[in-house]
Amino acid sequence: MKEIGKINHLKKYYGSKTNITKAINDISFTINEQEFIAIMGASGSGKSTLLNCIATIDRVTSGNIYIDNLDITEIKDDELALFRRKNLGFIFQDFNLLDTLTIEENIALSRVINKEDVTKIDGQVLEIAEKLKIIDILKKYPYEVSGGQKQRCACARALINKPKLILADEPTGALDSKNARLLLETLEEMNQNLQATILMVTHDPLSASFCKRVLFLKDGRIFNEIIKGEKSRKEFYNEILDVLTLLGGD
Amino acid sequence: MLAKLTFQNLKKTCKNYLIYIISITLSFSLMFSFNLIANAKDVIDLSTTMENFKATMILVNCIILFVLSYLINYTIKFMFQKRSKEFGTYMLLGIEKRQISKMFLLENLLMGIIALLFSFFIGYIFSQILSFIIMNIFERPYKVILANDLGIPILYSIIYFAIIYFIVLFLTHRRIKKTTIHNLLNLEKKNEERKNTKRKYGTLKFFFFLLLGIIALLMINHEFIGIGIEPSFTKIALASLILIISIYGITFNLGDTLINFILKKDSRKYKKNHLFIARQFTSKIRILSFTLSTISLLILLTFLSLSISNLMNSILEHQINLVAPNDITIIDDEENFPKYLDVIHKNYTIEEQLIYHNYKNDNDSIYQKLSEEEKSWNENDTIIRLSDYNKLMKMRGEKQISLASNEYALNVSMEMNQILSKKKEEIKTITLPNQETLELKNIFTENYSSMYSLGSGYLVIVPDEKIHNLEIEESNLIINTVEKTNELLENELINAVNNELCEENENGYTYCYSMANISVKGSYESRNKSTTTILSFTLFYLAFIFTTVCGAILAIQTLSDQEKYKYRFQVLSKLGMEEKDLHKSIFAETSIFFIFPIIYPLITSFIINCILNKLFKLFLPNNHSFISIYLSGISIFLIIYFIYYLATYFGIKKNIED
Repeated sequence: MKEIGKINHLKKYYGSKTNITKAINDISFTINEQEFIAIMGASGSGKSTLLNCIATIDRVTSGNIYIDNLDITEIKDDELALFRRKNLGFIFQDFNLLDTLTIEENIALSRVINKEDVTKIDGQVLEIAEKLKIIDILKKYPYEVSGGQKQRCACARALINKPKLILADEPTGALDSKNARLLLETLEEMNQNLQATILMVTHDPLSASFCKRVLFLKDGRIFNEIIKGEKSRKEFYNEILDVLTLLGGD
Repeated sequence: MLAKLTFQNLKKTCKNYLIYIISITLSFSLMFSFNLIANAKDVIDLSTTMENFKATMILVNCIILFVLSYLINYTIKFMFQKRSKEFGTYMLLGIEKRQISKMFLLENLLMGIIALLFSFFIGYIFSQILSFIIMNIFERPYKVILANDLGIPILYSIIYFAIIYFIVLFLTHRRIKKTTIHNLLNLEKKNEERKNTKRKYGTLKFFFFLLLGIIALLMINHEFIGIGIEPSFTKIALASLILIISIYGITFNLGDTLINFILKKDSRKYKKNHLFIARQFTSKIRILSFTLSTISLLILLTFLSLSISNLMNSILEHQINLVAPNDITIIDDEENFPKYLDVIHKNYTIEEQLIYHNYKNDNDSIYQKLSEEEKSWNENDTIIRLSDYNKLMKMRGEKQISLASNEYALNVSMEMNQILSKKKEEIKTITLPNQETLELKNIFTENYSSMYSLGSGYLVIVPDEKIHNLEIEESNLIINTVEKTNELLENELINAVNNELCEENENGYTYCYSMANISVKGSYESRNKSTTTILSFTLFYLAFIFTTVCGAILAIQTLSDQEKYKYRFQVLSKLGMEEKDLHKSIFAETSIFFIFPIIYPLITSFIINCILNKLFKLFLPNNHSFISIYLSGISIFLIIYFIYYLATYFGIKKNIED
């Protein structure tokens, strides 16, 4: 399978000379095309920092991040926005939808920012909304729909640009268990049927069990890595729980 | 504990609402400085009419009191809404409503007192600048207003402050008393619903209110037909009411009209940041429609005050030529002239002097051809010899005219020009007592003065040789002096010849009239200066406070949304919007928000000025003078408003960049 992302000896330190926090301390791994990876770890283990570095929101201290053979740590500040909108899609815990726009417009926004052909936008929104089953709520405002629907709208927004990599930061964090499960199924479908590559940060073992591979972080380092392979979700879930116990719990 | 909380909250509020505090401090400062000026003995003594300044100021202060209460009440209400969650938490923690109210009121009162105290210092500095300007207008040496004049203005300021805060704090206390924890914790959600609720038939209503506005302006236009024709008060009041309704209606429905227009076509909708900015703006107008309408109304009043005050000043300046064409003009019996000259010689050097006569024609007069309303008190035509007229013009440095021996000319007022132009056939010739006829050469308005025509509105100029048949009506003494004349000279001249006609009325009071008609340029100028000072200073005062209130409300609104802005731009930035585009959209959003409330007032006030110009153009240098007068008037507003805009824009930009 084609490798689309490579994290190479990544380090991210915070603080002053006398008091250094090593948020990420030499992490390396690869991301293959059409993968669905979960990153797990306790609070402060460095998982969000890692995601932010890959998302180009945060700068690294040393090491490289390659996306499609391009070292994104080398990209100049004023070119980062362009890189993000061409290559990355985002799904956040608190949805990050704009409250003054309708669901439809929120999804379209991503295309507008990308300066796409305006005549095609409405068609593309409809197509993606149909796939994510949110066609009925397109004309509504975020405050009029449920959390699950909001998050599906965020998924649609992330997908519409066909990004190389979708980054999801605790996407089920603000959802109840039913909606969380529905969303995870959506993400799984996006991964399997829509060929999306997803990197998800989570501390919820159930969420992680939907992925193909799980990386465990502890104190800024990769502590363990497990692969789903042919295992059932239930088996994979138990395996994740075992590692977490070993890790010292969350 | 609560005292500590109040103090800490006060510190936080002062930081967040700096623009508001500066605005009320400046407003209180202006109030103090204007009261100080209006009560200063030096200023009142400048001219006899300056006494009116004080009375006008009290009236204006009442309006200001109302508008400032609106600003303060609005801001306090706004602060309360913004901090609803905080107050909800206090209540959840078990702090009594009464105590929360006390804490919040105290916090605001303290803020007000700080502003008031500062206003005494800043106001004092303002008053020095104002008095410098006034002294300059009257061409007197500048004098520092002494501290013993300070007592009453300080007292006024304290009384006004007490009234404003009594009303506002009472309203706030009542508001807090009525709220529940649930209300407080859900206030934000309620706003959320309001901002996205579409109004039905928005576009249709928008055009309906636009039509109402046009009707109101047409009504006003219809009422101001000409000078001397009084507009009907009821109709003007009705038109104003319709205009106000139209302002509110248009502001309420503009958001939906705009969004309907933009969303109609994909090419418009998805172009650049259109969709995002339009949605942001619409949601803002939906929540703030009432406030924005009120701001528009205040701005309209500001524009009208500023432009009308400027218009009146220009008219007054132009009018001086009409009533006092030369330094001294005296119409009296010729035998009295030496007495007048004695008085003048005492204090002035005479530069030029002319004695001439006016004649009357009992045989045939233009007066008889006028209708009853057009006639003045003077029953005779006032006739002047061509050479005398030309001498008068020479003294004023104006163009001289020529006539053939069988011609006559009419120098008329703008008003009389309209009347006589329609009667050209009837006045084509006039017949002198010896049956000689003179043909009308032309009617002209240039350099006309009511002093020349004894108030009839027209002066008949005939060739010198035709005058011997006519009877002398009046004698005139015209003098130009080297020194500038003043008010005192007029009194001295009136007293120089004791030719007063005194009569007793039925109540036993004796009234005396001077038989002489004396006009001293300096005296008119001084009276004009008082009127100009009172008019422009009070209207400027009103306009400044209105502008401050509008600017402050818009700035507070925008700056308090900083967190929302920040969040929005973070999302957009993550979605890959470039920094350049982000800045563009902040710029567009803030600019539109500030420009929006001035569009309608700008158009309306300009049209109203056009209507007024129809009336007043007669008293202005030319037909288009009003445009520059209008623009220079409103520019004061635009400058202050622009400062508020800049402060807001850079405030937000800085916050987001941080």
